Amino acid sequence: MERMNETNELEEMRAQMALLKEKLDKEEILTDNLLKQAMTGKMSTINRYKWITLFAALFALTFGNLSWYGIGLPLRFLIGTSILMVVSVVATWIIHAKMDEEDIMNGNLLEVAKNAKKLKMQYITWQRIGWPVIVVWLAWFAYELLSLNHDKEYLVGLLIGCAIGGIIGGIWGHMMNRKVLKTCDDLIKQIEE
Amino acid sequence: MEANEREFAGIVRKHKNTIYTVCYMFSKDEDEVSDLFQEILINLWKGYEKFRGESSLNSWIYKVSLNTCISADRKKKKMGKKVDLSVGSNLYEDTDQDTKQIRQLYSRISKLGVIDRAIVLLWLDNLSYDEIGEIVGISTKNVSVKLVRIREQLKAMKG
Repeated sequence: MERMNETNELEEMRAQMALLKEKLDKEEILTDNLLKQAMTGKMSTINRYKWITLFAALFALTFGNLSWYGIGLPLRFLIGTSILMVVSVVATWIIHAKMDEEDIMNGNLLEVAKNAKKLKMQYITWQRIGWPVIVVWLAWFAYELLSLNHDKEYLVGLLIGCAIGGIIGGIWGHMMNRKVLKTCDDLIKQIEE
Repeated sequence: MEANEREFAGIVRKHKNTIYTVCYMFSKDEDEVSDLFQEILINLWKGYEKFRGESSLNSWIYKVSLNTCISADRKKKKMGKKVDLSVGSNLYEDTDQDTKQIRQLYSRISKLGVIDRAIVLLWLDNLSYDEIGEIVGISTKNVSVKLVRIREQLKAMKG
């Protein structure tokens, strides 16, 4: 039997739904302005992060490498850093592959929760790998910088400047990560409620 | 307006009541309805090119609308310009008899969990069990089981 036995509550709710439709039929609701605005819409938090990572890496690859090359950091450091950035961007894009906005919206409700859980786990794994790699990279950077044949005071100043920049970048990255994880958590909680 | 934009506008105009109903059932006030409606339109427009008609247009619109309402970050401040909906009546505040009835429907549905809310909404809109199952991601048999449980929940709420 496909249709369930209709109870009084559900019959009443169907009648109320008909009232709602009748009321909405009399309303314009959708204006041209609203449509125009929608067609120039913005990205979700999750999707935005993917693009920010790409642009940050592209900026660091060009501007960072040029300035580091300018102060005389060795080629092995530039190549190593470039590889790390490319790996970071590729990993971020792979992690987000199943969470593209169109896929989220076109999938069924339970599929969305499943993908959000997967994204969350991948993010946590990525963080566990990412932070030790960053610490090793920072130590390498400090070592290479202090090994340069420049005035020590200048190098220490440069290192402090880079450390401040790194801390600001690290805090920002951590906040972005937390935001994505929170978005996933809210989504999972809502669906599993 | 280009041809695909005109086509899209025609589709959403035809289904505006469906979109509004989903927003209403998942919101707490008119402002939230307006924000969600706008977000659904954005998501529909983004997904429109990828929509290949594997499911019916109505099912697709329901999927995008429900997914948007469930996953929307309600605390997020809107970056873009806010455009209000053109709705004369306020379903949360008006006191006429019809609106009171509609509000009773809202009050019953909003007490359910999001998946149950989606199922009952689709059922009330006369979608088949197959369509409901496809949108929610559960089997047709499961839809039937869930509806029985929802009925019990509604009964318990009344009692």
